[in-house]
Amino acid sequence: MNNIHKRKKYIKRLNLIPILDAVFIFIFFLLMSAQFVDIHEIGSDAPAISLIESIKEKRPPLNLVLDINSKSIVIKTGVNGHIYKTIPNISNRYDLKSLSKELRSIKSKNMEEDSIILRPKSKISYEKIVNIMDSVRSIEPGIQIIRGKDKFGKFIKTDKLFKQIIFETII
Amino acid sequence: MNIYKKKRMLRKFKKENKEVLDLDITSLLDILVILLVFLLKSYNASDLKIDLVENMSLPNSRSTTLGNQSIIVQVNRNRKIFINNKLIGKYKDGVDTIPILFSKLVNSKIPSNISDKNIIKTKTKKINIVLDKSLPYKVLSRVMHTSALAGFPEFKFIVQGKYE
Repeated sequence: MNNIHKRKKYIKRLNLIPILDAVFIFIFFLLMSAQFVDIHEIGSDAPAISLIESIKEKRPPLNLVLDINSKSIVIKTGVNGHIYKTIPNISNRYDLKSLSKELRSIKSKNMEEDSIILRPKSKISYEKIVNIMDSVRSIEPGIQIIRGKDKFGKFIKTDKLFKQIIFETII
Repeated sequence: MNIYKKKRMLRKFKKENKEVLDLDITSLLDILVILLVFLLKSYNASDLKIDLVENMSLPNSRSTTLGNQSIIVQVNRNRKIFINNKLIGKYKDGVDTIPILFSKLVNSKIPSNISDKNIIKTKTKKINIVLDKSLPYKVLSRVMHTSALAGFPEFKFIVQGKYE
């Protein structure tokens, strides 16, 4: 008699336990380092007098200043504070696109200048100041980068405007 | 049936009925993979850890610069001042420095784990300023003025990233 022994068919399965272990530990690590509020920073330094030997510049300093009040932003240049342009405040919003456009124009003529002085009035809200700082530091996404000549006559290009923000009357 | 036969049959029955329970963890792994992807997306490479205090709304900004760990001064909507999440007092209108803030900043301790003198020198000049977006410039101005006089002239304004 033939005894047909039916052998049990064992289906080979992948052992997922080590993978699960690794994923679990990885998840705990990421959970500890996760930040659900996207935090960034904008740097600014108190104005300081630095003793640096400077070569006598042929061009006068730009001395770019923004006077921020509730009605407008006044762009001033030069040591005498000559008014370059006035950007109006329309329906409680500053026209930041125009501000950015004017600053791009100034930057293209003064590629080596990096600093800007902000002079807001005491009642201007912090949120508006941050928006202005954004417009002052770099060009908006989608806008063409700025091209111009540096002080040596060399053509350079940049997407940064005036990164060094100084608030006047801090010290 | 004698007792030995009964015992043998019982043993055989127990042996045959030993089944290993197979747990199907495919769906659990699915969930973990999705969770992993989400956490990878929110991974933060900066060493700055901020616990925002109550009644604090940060202004939005295009800035992408990551912050660094240093003293954190927070002033919320109710004008309460916090240093490293500890309430030190309330902001009061005035002309010059904020006295409570000035004294706390001057007395702030250098963390004991920093040993390199150069690191101490650069680290103690920076200050992270976290202000509620509704506060007027005069509050910011006095906080900066006080911080600069207390020996922290490098201001870092903490803002919330904005995706366009």
